[in-house]
Order: sequence, then structure tokens, then C-alpha cells
Amino acid sequence: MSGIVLTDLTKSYGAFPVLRGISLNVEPGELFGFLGPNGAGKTTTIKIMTSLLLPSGGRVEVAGYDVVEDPYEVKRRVGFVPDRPFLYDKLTGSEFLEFVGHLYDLSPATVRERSHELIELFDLSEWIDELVEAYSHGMRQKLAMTSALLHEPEIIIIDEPTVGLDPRSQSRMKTLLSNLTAKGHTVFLSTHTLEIAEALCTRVAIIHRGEIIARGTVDELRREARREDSSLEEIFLGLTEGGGPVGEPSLV
Amino acid sequence: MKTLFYPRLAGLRREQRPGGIHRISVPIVLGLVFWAAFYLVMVRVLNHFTTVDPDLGRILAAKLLALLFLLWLSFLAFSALITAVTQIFLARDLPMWLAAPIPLRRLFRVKLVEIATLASWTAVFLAIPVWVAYGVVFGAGWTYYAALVVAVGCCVTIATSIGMLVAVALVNLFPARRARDLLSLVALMFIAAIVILLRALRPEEFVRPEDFGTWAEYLVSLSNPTLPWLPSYWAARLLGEVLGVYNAVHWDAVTLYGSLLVVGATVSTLAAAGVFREMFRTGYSKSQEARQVQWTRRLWWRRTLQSLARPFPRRVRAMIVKDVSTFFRDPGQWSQLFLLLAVVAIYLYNFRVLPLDAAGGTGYLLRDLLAFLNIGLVGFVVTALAARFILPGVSLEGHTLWLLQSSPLTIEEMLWAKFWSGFLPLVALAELLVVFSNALLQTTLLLSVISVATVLFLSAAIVGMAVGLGASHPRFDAPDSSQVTAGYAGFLFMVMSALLVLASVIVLAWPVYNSFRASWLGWGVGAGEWGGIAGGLVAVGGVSAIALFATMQAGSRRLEAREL
Repeated sequence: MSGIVLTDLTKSYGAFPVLRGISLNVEPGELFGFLGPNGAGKTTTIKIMTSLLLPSGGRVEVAGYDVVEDPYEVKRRVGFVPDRPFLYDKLTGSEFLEFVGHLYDLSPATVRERSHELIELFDLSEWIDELVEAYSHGMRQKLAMTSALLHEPEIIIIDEPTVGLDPRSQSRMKTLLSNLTAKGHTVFLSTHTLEIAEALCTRVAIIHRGEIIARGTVDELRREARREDSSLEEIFLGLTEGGGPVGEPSLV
Repeated sequence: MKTLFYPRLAGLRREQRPGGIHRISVPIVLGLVFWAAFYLVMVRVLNHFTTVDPDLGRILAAKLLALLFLLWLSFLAFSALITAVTQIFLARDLPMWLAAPIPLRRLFRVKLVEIATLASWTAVFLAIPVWVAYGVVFGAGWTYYAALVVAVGCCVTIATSIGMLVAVALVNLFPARRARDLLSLVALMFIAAIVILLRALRPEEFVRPEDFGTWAEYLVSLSNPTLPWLPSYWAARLLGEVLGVYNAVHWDAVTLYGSLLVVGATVSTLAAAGVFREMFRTGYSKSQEARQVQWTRRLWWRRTLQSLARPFPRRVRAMIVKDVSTFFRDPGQWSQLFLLLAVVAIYLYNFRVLPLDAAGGTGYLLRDLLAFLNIGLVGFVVTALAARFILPGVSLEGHTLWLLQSSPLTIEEMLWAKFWSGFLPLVALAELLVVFSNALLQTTLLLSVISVATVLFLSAAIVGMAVGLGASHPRFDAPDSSQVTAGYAGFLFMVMSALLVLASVIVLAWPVYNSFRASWLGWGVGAGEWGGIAGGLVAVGGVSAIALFATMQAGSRRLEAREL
């Protein structure tokens, strides 16, 4: 199994540079946290990793495949949950899962079998035959998560996993993510919720103004920042407040 | 009030910036060409009326004005009702407005102006050449144009107020239904109105004066007012009186019909305001309630869809089943099938009432000519339907495209799934139209075969172009499909499709004419004629295939290169 390798990745929207040559290595089976303030380039990075955007430069390998040269091999091996999962309002939850399962070439029996467990896990069984338009934001998030796990992807990429989830679901989500990595899945997590990153992630990277300004385990970040008693939140704020001059990564 | 209009006005200003004059110059030129053509046709018709027989001509001109106003008001009323449902219950900015301390009377006024503008601009734009033609032919002075402003303003106000009133009342009368479901009801009402109008007008009688006992009876029948209790008649009568179409200007009639229009507009606005004030809040609340179980969620429906899509690969099948299911669950989409039924009914009805016998011994010539031209007509019907239902398909994926793009589904698979889910129903409808109209015309087997084959080729090409161009120029930000159809892709598609249809008819015209001439002259259709027809069909098939594959490939390539 392979993880995720980003090498000198750049991306510009017109003349505006969003990613300025970021490099990352996420090991297989790792739960990796990707942190950064709004507009730092998190979602752009994720979109490139999931083949939704083409990079301007550099190289991205996901599950051993180049996202530009072999996008469909990448897609087969990745499960993606965006921060705002727009779904088909006019399908029921079960129809949506069946549809997504078929996109990944799963048989109806496999879809039924795999979705059953996930539906129970996310407390969706009561709503699964209702139209998605009747779902709350949290329920949509859970349905999107269920659909992303249906094909048992090697790599799971999640943008803000707990937005809109109630406390019980947040707790279950944390357990689920831990279990997935225990089973050998790689999880790449982009989040603003620093306590989740602190509690779950084996390593984190902080992106700011299109550059990685820190990476490592939370303890490593503390040591390097010389803030041994600080929380990840304090480290994060210290690194990103005022921003520091662009192009001068502080801890990398 | 000014604040409430600000977001829309600011958005409109910004929308015009990119591309500048070049982007809007093509629609402006086309609009002017349309105006000029329509104006010239109207002037010619009215001049013909007044020069051939001045008395009958004036009656016919007055009758035509009343009929045109009736059709215009029907279109306006339908448009106002649809816009009212959308703007009062479905607009995205409504929750923000309703959460703000805006008095209901102010909200009503803003919505009245907004709906009137959105619903009427197309109708007014289309009718301007008619009104100007009347003014020019009858040598109108400023009073005509002043009366025209009053008449049009009152008709727009009446249609908008009634549209708002009916929309608010319907939401309250049909509890626990989401507002979108209303659109299907509205469409049903429209089809009923079309049928009633068709029967009330009996347009076929105008060309059959021989059906009347005497010339005087014919004239009296024409002079009788058509639906005199409708504002369309008041407006037409007001303008007719000012123009002196009724031999002289009768100022008492001008005052009467002008007053009726003003009073009608005032009363309808007050009534709508009252209903809005009393029923809007409860209606809006009801419109947010959960929907009922639908037949498209039954097991038999899903199984039928799955088995129909079985010949396709799994991913394409999943897309087809998804597209068909979501289409039938969105009343905003499927309710327009009622309009489709109305189009089909009117289409076939026209063939049934055509006065072919009036052509005497040459009726068969007219019959064959109509059957041949019918290929082009069906091509245009398919174009209109593809523009409405298929072209917006990729754009409507919009926010959900992340799911498809991040899955192993290729862009090509997605586009071909959209092609098949659009092509199969459209080609079935097109062939049905051709076969039925040919049967009504009792045309030859040869022409029927040519029609069926050509319509098959054209339908495939038109649907392919709709999917391909829709993918090449998607509008993911469009709030609904009509805005995609009205955009650049829609315009390009209409032009390309019309050219293809015209080219196909022109290519086939000569070999078809040769074969008909041979059979009319009793020579029988020989090898040369058959060869010509086969060659024509191969040419049409070839051009259609090129149009289909080229646009699909271009769409796939451009969508692939597009960044979300």
C-alpha cells in the first residue's frame, strides 16, 4: 500500500499563486491532519489530490499513482468527503448509496451489505428511505461519509469531517477514523477543529499562505516552537497570527 | 424599497461587465433582425387586409389584434404565475428577507415589480413589432402610443397581480405540499387554458368562409368580440378605437375600455395585496413542510428503470437511472411535460383541421409537400425540447459534480449517459409525431420511410449537440435550467441545430421532388430516384454523425480541462 506524496506542488489561479511549492509525505495507515487558516490553500490541495483540479507544477502521487497521469486509478482508490457535500436532493439515501456504489463498479448486493453497517453506525437507518432534500446538514455529511467508504478505499480524504455533526456523531466519527487507520487505511484530514487533530492525528502539517510552515507530531511542533505546555491551538495561533513573512516557513 | 432592489440591480450591473459589448452584440443584432422581420410581415399582412377589401380588412385587423392580445395575455399570465411561485416561495434570498424586519406590504410591492419585470420583458419584446406595425399602417398619432403604454402597463399589472394571488392561494389551499409541486398544477392549468382557447378561437373557420350561409353571416361572425370579459379584449379594443379601426375614433369607447383596464389593474393589485398580507406567512410556512411519498419511490419503478437501463455498462446505467429518477421527482422539471403534451396536441390537431380538400384536385401535392416539410418541423420541435430538457443537464450537476469527478466515472461516460437518457424519449416522441402526422395526411410509404429515417438521424445529432454544447459551456451557477437554455450555450445550440435541420431538408429536397414527380407523372419510382434518395439519406446521416460525435468530443474535452 502507498500513501500520499506531494512534491513541490504549486497552483495558481490566473496570476494569483495559491500553493507555493508544498511537499508532504503521508505514510500508509497514517491519520494525517492538514491545518491552516481560511484561504491558506487546504481545499485547493485536497482538490488536486482528488483530481478535481490540475496542479500548475510539481507532482502528486496518491496510492502510488500520479493524479495527472492516472486520475482514474487514483479515483478508484480514494474516498472523498468535501466540507459541503452537495448531494442529489431528489434521491433517497439508499438510492444515493446505490448510485455511488455503481459508480465504483460495486454490485447491488455489495452496496447493500457494506452500507448496512455504516448506516447503523451513523444512525441513518430511520432516514435512509427519505429524499435527501429532507436531510439536515449533519445527516448529509454522514451520508457523504458513508458513500465515500462504500468501496473500501485505500485512502480517505476528508475536508472538515465534523462540521454540522452532533456530539454523538462527532464521537463516532472519531472512533471510525481511528478504526480505519488501525485497519491500514490512510486518512488525510483537513480541519479547523484543532482538538480533533490533536486527539486523533499521528502527524499534522500547517499550511499558511500556500506554504507548509510546520509539520510533524504535535509533540514535535511543541518542541520546535519551544512551547512545551502549549496546546495545538496555541501553537497554531502563534504560527499563523500575523502570518510571518511569506516564503519564510518558521518550522519547516 | 431601494435597498430591497439593490442586490438584484447590482448583480445585473456586474453580470454585464465581462465580455463587454462583444458578448451582448450578437443577441442585440439577432433581436433587431427578429424585430425587423416580424415587423415587415405584420405590415404586409395589415396592408393586404386594408387594400384588398377595406371594410373586411378593418374587421380582420381588429380581430387579429384581439387574438394577438389574447395569446399575448395568456403567455404573460402563465409566465407571471410561474415566476410568482418561484419568486414568492422558492427564491434563495427569501429566508434572509423574511428574517429581516421588512413589512409585508413593502415585500409585496418589491415582489410585484420584480415578478412583473421578470415575467413580462420577453412578452413585451416579442410584441413590439406588432404594435408598431399597427401604428404605422393605420397612421397612428401620439394618442395611440400613449394608449399602448396604458394598455400594456395595465395588462402586465393585472397578469402579475393575478399570478401572485393565485400562487399564494394555491399554496394555502393545498396543504403540506412543497411549493415546487405547485408548478405541475400550474402547468396543468395552462394546458387546460390552451385547449379552451383553441376551441374558443376556432382559427380554422377564418379560412373557410364557405362554411357560412352568406357573406354577411361571415362578417358578423368575425365582428363578434372574442372573450369580451378579458383584459386582452379591453386592451385590443382601446387600441383599435384609438387607431380608428372601427371606422372612426369613438371617444366614449376609448374612455370605457381605458377605464376598465385601469380599474382592472387597480382592483387586481389591491386583491393580490390583501391575499398576500393575509395568507403569505401561512403559505410560506406550509411550502416548507415535508413532501409526501411519490410513486417514483416505489420498488416497481426502480426495477423497471434498472431493467430498461440494463444494456448499458454499470456506471452509465447508474447515471441514467439517477437522471431519470431525479427528473421525475422534480416537479419544476417534469411538469413541463404537460407543456409538451400541449405542443403535441396542437401540432397534431393542426394537421387534422388543415383545409386540404379546399386545394381541389391538387390536394395531394399540398399533402406531400406538408409531409416533407414536417421533417423540418419535427426537427425544430426536437431542438426546442432538447434545449429545454437536455442542454442544461451538465450544468444542473453543478454542485454535485465533485462526486462524479472524484469517482472513476469518466467524463465521456457521464456525457453518453446523458445522451442516452435524453435521446431515447425524444426520438420516440419525434417518430410518434412523424408517424401520426403522416397518417393524418395519408402520405406515401416512401415519404414515411424517409421521414422516419431522417428524424432518427436528426434526433441523435440534436441530442448529441445539446449534451456536447451543454458540457462545453456549462453554467454551474445558474439557479435553474431555463437560465442555461437562455445563455450562450443555448443560443449556440439553437443556431447549430437550426442549420442542421435546414441543411438536411435542403439536401433531401431534390431527390424527394424527383421521386414525387416520377410518381405524379405515373412513371413510377425508378433506380435513379431510389439512388438519389439513398444518397440524400446517407448525406444527412453522415452530417448528423459528424455533428453528434464532434460536439460530444468537444464537450468531453472542455469539461475535462475545466477546473472546479
